[in-house]
Amino acid sequence: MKAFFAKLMRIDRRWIFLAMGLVVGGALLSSIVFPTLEISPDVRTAYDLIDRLPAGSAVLYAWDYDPGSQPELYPLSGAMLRHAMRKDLKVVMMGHWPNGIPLIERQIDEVIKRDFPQKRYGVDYANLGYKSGQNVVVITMAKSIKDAFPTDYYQTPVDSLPLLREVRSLRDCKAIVSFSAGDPGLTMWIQFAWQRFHIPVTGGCTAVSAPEFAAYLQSGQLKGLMGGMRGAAEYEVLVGRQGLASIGMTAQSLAHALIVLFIVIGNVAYFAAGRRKEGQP
Amino acid sequence: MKKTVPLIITFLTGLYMIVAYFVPHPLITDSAQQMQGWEIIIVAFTLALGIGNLVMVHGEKIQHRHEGWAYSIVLLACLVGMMGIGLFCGIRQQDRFPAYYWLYINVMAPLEAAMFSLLAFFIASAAYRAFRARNKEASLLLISATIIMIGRVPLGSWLWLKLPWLGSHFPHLLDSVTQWIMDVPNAAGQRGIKIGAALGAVSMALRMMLGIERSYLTTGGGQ
Repeated sequence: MKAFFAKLMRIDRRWIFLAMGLVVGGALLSSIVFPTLEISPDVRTAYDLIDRLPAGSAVLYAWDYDPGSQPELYPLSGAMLRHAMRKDLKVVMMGHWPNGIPLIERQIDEVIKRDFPQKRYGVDYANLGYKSGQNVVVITMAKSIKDAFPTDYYQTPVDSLPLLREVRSLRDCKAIVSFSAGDPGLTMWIQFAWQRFHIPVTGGCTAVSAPEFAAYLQSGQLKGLMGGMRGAAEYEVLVGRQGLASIGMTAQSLAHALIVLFIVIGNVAYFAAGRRKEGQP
Repeated sequence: MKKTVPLIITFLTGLYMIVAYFVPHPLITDSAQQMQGWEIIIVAFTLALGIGNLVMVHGEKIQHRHEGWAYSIVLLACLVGMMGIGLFCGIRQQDRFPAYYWLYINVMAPLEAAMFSLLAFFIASAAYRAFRARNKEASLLLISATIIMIGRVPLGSWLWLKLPWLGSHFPHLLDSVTQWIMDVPNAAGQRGIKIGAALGAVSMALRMMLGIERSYLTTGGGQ
């Protein structure tokens, strides 16, 4: 029996990969959907921040991620963009990750052009694109958006866009929303936009980086947070249109359960095969 | 002289930016703002440095046929290809030949997402092999991680409600414990890390301003 558990401990990792592939693939292909999520207080706070803004208010949405984090953050940016459009907010879009900017164009197509065709570019929303400089860009935008972005993503002078004639600086935005996969991202917005200019900051991040924002949430420097795909799924529930995140939650649920199962099996085998001394594999 | 002048520039610039933060007089803040504008331009130039470095490292790898040199060819071909397409055809969707956008959406985005998704496989394998209750600390980590992993997905809440007695008498216990772990031990640890990192950054900035830390002036990284 001991030999069996010892063998189990040395199992070829390709079996683990296969199990994970089957579980995630099966969940994505099946139509199983787990019951509706309970909305966490952090997601509710972020939702309320956007929801309570009067129509016509300007908000800045920052796509601070690239396609690597797309499965977690793309559904969230879609849900939040939809929410802003429904509320008739004016959305200024930009990003600090050069590889993420085409995702803004894609989201404009999928959310605004498809479901809100009456919204006009330059009047209801604008895409500034990318500018290198990270925190310096934020500080410069707080003085004048035109100084940081003389033209928008499509090379149109920002002065010729009615929206950016109204929103001249970051201080004219009632909230900043960052979809953040790391640095530059939410932390930078908190440190510069909130701390220096007191513009409310909220947003979403990948699940793996969610724990690092707990301190900012408690201090009130961050007004709510959507952590990973779960946060996005909760926001989708609040917006009333379940999409990619809600579908993905089934796969994520089963993947988590499988990892826990592996941990249990690994530990059972570890104790059954006889514990080894510290430092031994 | 070669080092003294940059050290003086570093000291004066650092000092001026600190003064600008605390003295909100337009005379000072406007010029500080101007200097920050220069930083945007300097940062943009680092992109060119990065490309140069990438070409040099991989060019050398190809030239000397180091292990994996064929991948370097692919990397450089993609770099030149995407850059060329972007420069000559444009990077936007509504450009006349939106080849860059097409490649981005149909090749680059799925590839990057696929790379990131590999994490799930490696985490599963690592959890199986390394997550062992070897001692008290490891057991604590193991239990916390398991609670968070189960508590953060709807399946966990659903399974909890199905548990006899516990599910019916304490339906929110799992959610509460998960939130407590995030809000108390996690937040305390994160706060400590952040304060430590901030103090480290302040000390490093002072060292650079005072010329104690000079590694940025040399190519070797030493004093």
